[in-house]
Amino acid sequence: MLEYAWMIPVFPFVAFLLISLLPKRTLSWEDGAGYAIGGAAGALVLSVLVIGDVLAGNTMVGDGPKFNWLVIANIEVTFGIWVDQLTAVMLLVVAVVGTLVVIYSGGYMHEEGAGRRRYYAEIMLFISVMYGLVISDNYLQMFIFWELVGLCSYLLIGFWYEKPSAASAAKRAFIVTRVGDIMFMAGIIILFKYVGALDFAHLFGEEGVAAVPNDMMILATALIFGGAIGKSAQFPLHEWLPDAMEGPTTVSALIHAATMVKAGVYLTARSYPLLVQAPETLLFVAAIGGVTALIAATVALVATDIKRVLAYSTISQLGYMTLALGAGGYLVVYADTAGGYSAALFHLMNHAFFKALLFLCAGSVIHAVGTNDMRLMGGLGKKMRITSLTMLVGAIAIAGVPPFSGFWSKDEVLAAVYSAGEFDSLFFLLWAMGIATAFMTAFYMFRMWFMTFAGEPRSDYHAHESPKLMTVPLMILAVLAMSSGFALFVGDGFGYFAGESVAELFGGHHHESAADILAHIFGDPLTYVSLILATMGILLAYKIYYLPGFDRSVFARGVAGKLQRALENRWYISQFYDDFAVKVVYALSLVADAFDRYVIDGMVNGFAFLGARSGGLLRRAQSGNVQRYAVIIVVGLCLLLIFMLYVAPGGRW
Amino acid sequence: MIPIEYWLIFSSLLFCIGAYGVLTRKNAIVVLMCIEIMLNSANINLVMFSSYHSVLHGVVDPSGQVFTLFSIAIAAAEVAVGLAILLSVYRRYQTIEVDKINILRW
Amino acid sequence: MEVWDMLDAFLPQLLLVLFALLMPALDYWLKDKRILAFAALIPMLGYGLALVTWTIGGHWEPPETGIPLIEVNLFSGTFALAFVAVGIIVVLSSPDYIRGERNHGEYYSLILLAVTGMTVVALATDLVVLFIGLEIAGIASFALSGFSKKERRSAEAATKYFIVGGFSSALTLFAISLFYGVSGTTDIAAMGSQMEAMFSSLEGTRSVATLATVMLIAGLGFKIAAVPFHMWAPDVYEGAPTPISGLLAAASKKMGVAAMFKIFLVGIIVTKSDWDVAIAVIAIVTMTVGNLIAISQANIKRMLAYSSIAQAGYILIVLPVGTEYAVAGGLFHVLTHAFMKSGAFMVVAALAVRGVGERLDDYKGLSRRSPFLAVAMTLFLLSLAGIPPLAGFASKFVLFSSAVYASIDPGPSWLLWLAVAGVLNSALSLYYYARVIKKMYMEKGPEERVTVPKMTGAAILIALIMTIVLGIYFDAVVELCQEAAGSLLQAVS
Repeated sequence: MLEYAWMIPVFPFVAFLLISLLPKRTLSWEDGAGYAIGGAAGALVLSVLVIGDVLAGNTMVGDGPKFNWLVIANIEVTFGIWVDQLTAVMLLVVAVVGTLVVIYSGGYMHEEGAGRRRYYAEIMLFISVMYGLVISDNYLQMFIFWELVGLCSYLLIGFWYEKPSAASAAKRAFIVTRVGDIMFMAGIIILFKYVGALDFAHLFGEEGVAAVPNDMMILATALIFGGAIGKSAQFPLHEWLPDAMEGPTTVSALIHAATMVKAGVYLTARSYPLLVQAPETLLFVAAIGGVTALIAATVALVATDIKRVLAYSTISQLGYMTLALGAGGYLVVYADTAGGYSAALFHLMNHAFFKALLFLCAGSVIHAVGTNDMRLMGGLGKKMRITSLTMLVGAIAIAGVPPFSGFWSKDEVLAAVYSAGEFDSLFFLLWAMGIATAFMTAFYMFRMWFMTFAGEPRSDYHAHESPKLMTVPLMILAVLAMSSGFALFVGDGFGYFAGESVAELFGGHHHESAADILAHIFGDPLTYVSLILATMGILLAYKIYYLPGFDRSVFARGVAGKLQRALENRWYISQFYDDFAVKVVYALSLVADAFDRYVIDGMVNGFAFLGARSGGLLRRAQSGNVQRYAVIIVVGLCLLLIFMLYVAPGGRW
Repeated sequence: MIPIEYWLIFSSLLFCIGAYGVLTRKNAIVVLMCIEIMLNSANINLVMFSSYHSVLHGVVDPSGQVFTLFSIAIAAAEVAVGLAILLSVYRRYQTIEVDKINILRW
Repeated sequence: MEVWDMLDAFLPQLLLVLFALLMPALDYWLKDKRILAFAALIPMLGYGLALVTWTIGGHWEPPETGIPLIEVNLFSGTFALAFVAVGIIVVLSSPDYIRGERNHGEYYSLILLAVTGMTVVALATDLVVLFIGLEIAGIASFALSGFSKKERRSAEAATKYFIVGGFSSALTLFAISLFYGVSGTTDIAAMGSQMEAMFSSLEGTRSVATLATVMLIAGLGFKIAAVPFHMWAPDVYEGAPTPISGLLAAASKKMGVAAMFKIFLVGIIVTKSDWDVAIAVIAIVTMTVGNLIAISQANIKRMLAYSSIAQAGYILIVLPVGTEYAVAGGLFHVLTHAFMKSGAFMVVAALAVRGVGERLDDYKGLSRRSPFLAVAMTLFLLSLAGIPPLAGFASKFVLFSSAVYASIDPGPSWLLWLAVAGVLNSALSLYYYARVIKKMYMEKGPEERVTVPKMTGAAILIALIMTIVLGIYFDAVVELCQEAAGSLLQAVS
């Protein structure tokens, strides 16, 4: 089955072509939703078959079919596929969430009218290139899809491009992620310089790893992780993700919660054979992850836009995954176990399900109420029973209450970080940040749920439950969010399965029985620490946002008020970018322009003055435009001559 | 025979005079003439080097002289086109002073 | 040897000149001026077809030329292909643009002459022929840029172009005369060894060679618009009729590149250690200044002008790197840039025909006024920025990676910085390209539809298809470029 994996992206791509090229009347139902569901489902079926094959122990790492895209001298640039356990996890996420989101869109986008065709075409293109990204067998191919994914994200964030906020959010997302992309590309170039190849089989092989000097390996891996920072919205490039919520909620669910933002985590995981050569980078990865998790969670505490709460929560959870990957690398290097690595992937999978669920529930709420502002909601639980219950499932899952999925993976992540503390004490600090984040996560999730569904309506609306087309995917995702955690106990267990893809990096890979794992988890006192904190978070939210009589104005006063304002302004990071970073680029341009205009021209005038010592000439040099160009040519020529004769290495005299 | 240095100094001076004129004269026709002076200084070089190499190698080296003939022809064509352009500029601007022709700029 | 045997190799040029001479006569007889454009296409299509079947198809070989002054090889063939392709695109889009003007015959005649001059440069192996080619193309394009006689801007562009151009040809000629002086030959391939002999026998000649090199950099730097010899380019591109701006940016500039490749990589490669750092500095400054100033431009033609200044910076990387792979990358970029830049200018021309202005703000909401033009422009701009899988990405990739390779073997290692600067600049350039795309797709503008002028549309379509095809099937093209690069460099070894 594996050799057919290249066909997975073909299905959605064909759907994309059909939707964008067929005459409008042949698109029939919902302007192409039929084709879109067909394309997504086709890819889902094939993905499941491929995943089944991987579960059976088959992989295709470097020995799959390839075709030469470009041959230059002795360097071949090929397109090929790479299917291992990591690929399988990503395929599962993209396939399941992608298909459900497309089905859900059938109801959600109903009122969009003519825009639907563009929507379905773009979403199909996105799914297609996302599959392409996941099955790439070399960095160049991956980079191409990486850029295409970014492009689709740009188009979809700006879907309502008439809205200035959407247009600017799209631009922002594109530019910010581009910063990461450049780093990614620079990292690739460094690797290419030393190894002379870009496919994983060569790069990850012993010769490939040995060809890169240690300091360059640190630089290259750090730069590649820079790409992940951009794509996975890690601190300090995380601010584009909340803004990206300007797109349709389905897009937020699919791209900005479940799939594309995972690409950065995926890239980091994929680069593990390189990362473990550079523990310095691993520490950096972990630190970025920890800081991101904490900062994003704090901002989520005060956000009032339901989608922004979820967006910050996504960033925070992505931080968890990054943290786990950083800690996991340490465990691979020093403890010969893939515990952290598989914990990250486990959390990645679980998070995809419950976060997609939460987003789609939010979409259902927005669909019904017509606003994103939670302060205007309230009391929806009675009117939207399915949505409120499924969202409750999602909230419990993310808060980490057993036996829902979030509990298992979050516990694995924190355990991995804690045990990495043995090798570098910084991990204890990061663990503490993780624990604090877990507490805040439980709090803000239930704050959101209570504000939305509990109490009395706070504004005038006529909400009703969403159509079946929307609620069925919700229910499927709710079941997944409840149950995906049990993957830990199925067969050899998820940890063993995921660890396989990096098994050759370390020696002792043995699988534990379900009972062992359970004993492991519940025998560890730290598990109870996080459980108690999560419970406290939920209870606190219950006390403040559900029980009557709590005076919330205390938050607005004194130190708490200052803190709240800082949080509401997202720690001023976004403002910093607007006020400073973006303007710097423009200022540079102006400076260069002014340099040309004033400094060079001024120099020219000076030269003319020195040359002729005549005021009349100076005047003429100022007013004659073409001649000024000629003067600049002469000045350039003279500088060049001086440079070549005296400055350049070949210069004599 | 006149030493080669003299020729070189002569052609360089001519070149510099031409360049100075291009950079400073207001009247476009004078600028055009200065460009011609620059081209001619190069022509002198070509002819001079041709004879120099002929003496040096003992065989006549005609390529420099041929080159000069071509470059004179090219210069003539350039003048023709240049004058035509100046004519059309004069119709639009009522002037051929180069510093007055500057609506295209930063 | 019979005269006709000798002229065999010049047959395409003779044909081009013949048609150029015919054009004014046809203009006199024909009522429908569009037929003129088709007549002008005949020799170029013929030449182009011959070139394609030879270079890409490999179906025939051109006969050995009897003349020592030119050589028909894959290098000249590839460049000629780029020139002819741009010529075809420009001629195709001209009838719509110059409808209101007089003297169509002369217009096409001049385009044909310009293409002739460019192909002569591509063929030349002798400085005399090279200079003649440069001047034929140069003089024809001076006149072309002033073609819209009713436009003040066009007349001004022609004046500026002419003055700076004349100045630069004088520099070039003087430089060539000095090279002739220190080498005693005008044959490019023989220059190197003769110069070395001269250096060892006569003191001070190497400094004269350096002076000549600097003047040549200035003279040809004008043609390719390298900083600081670039100042004319934005003014001229803005003022000239838009199809001609396309011709200047996409073909005339490439002629300068061809001349530079020949002289620097064959003729004076022996003094490479003297000029490689200088040109590397110029390359980096050129791309950086071009991209930085492009960001603050409000006129799209000016923006494209600065963008093509930056592209010249990318191509200049080839000279200090100097490996066969680098030359192949340069050739490839010449080909891709020919299509994407001319395509972008033709979109501007098509819109100008329909009364849409040249300011960036005039492009607001274009995606709804003319989806085809908006998509085409987007693809051209993305290709210019180097987004895969478009042609611009492929050629930049080859170009930059050649610098990376060369920094390892044969060195020196600072060549790596050229690639770094190139990549950073590509990232920077995306900023202003994306701004145009944003204006077209995300901002509201006038609502009324813009129809695509038919012939201009056809020209844009050709450029668009090539931009995509060259990006996807670049394997074969790179192979061709490598062979072509080999045929240039074999003269040295």
